[in-house]
Amino acid sequence: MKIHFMKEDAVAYFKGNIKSNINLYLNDNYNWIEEKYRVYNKDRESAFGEFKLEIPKFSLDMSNEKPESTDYNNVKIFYCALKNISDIQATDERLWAGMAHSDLFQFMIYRCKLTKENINEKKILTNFFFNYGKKRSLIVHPLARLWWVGRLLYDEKKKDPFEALEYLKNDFSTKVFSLFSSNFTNNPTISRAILKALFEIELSGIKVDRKGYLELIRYVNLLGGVIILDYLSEDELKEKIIKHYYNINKSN
Amino acid sequence: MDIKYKLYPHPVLWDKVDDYNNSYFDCDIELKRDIKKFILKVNFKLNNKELEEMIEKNLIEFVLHIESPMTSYRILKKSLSRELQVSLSDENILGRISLCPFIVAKQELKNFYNSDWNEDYKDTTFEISKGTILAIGTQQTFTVDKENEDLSSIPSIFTIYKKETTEEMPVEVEINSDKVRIGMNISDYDKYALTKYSTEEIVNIVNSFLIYPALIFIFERLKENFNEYSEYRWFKAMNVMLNKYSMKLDEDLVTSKSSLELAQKIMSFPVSKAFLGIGSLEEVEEQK
Repeated sequence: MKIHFMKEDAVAYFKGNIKSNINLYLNDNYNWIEEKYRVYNKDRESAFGEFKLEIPKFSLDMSNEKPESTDYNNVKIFYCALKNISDIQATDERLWAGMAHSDLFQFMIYRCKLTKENINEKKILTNFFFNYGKKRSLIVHPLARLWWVGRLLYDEKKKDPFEALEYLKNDFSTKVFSLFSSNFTNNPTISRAILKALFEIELSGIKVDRKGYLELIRYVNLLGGVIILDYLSEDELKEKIIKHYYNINKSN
Repeated sequence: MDIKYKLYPHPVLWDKVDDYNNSYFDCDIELKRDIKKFILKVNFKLNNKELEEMIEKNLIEFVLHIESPMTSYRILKKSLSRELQVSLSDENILGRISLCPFIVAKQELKNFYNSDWNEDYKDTTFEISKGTILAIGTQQTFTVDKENEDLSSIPSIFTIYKKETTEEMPVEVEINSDKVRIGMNISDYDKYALTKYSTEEIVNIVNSFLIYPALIFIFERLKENFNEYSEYRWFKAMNVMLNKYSMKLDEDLVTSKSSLELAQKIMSFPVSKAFLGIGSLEEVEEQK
């Protein structure tokens, strides 16, 4: 299948005109985008361009009443389908704004829980476009976030390449924000080590609460002050984190 | 990763501290463009007998930490030899690439000691864990731009669009994207659209009241939060413009110079250009 990016002029236009288009975001299709853009752009040029890569056909999970609980599944579906796009392409607002306004418009309404009652400009701006600095936008935009979490956790050497995703099964967004706010998580080995450590601790029957989770992130930050985190293997770093967790909880 | 000045709980060979008396560590990096990739030729320079011996014994090694924050790409290259060649594919890197050389412990080191240490460490040994930084070289950075990226003219980094409102409203400027986006209401936009393909004189006049204040706004934002914007295309284009004046768009520049001055330099003196434009329009009027 083909996916679509939004052209620069169209992004500027639609991003700058959310207020006047707001109710159109509740439509069950995105035909209005092209209609509006044709009027605006007298050249009758399309708002979208076809992305040059052929993508395997996929459909995202929209089955749960709580859309956030589908993120875990959707990382797998989405990243597997779009694995071949490059990191550079995946940092481009035009790609994510384009898919959000076309191929995955329905999914966006579902994932953002858009209703007549709760729709507002901020919600559209943050979810359909990039509203923060580039790096933060990549984990705030619902589609970019699915892809980047997949990109930073996927391990093709493993029988289950998404093993590290297990810990994110619940409370996906909050955990993703705290984890990917640090630069060291740009190295997939480090991100996976942290998540696998957390998952292993939880497997032993302990629930790592928010405070415990943030403490472990803080520990990895501190550790990175003296050693080069990237130098350790995934298992070595994972063991250090687990050891630290048990040490501080023993002393408490 | 950026190397920041900080103190370590053990002696580190680094020119920012005096933990070692007469030793030296750094590296030369030669950058070469190849087809769809960059080749880095790295030459580590170390002058400390014991550390050299430890490298020979496979206890410690040279590493180069490479990071491209814009594409969330971060890797580490290890080497027991002083020479290292690294290939970086265009697919992975964009914007500012930082290269940080270190020497790190390959394994746990018991009783780590060096005879060149500062006297403060006399008769002291250290327990060092794997991955610990033992020496730090000079961080180097280089910038990768997208191919065919036009950074040569200021208009190329602005997108002007119409806000679908007839209400009187101030012009809006958005800078969290590769191009700076300027929005204005229907009546202003329609008038602007008429000037778009007009004479150079008129374009210069329009730029002086549209682009020039937008640039002042941008410099003010850079003063507040410089690092947030450095990866955008407009930022890089502005840097190219400032290079003409032997200036570099960095934090020092935006804090030491006024936004007013920098904006005028970027546009090669918009006010004068606008006056010239008005002058020639008047001449045309008179001839009529």
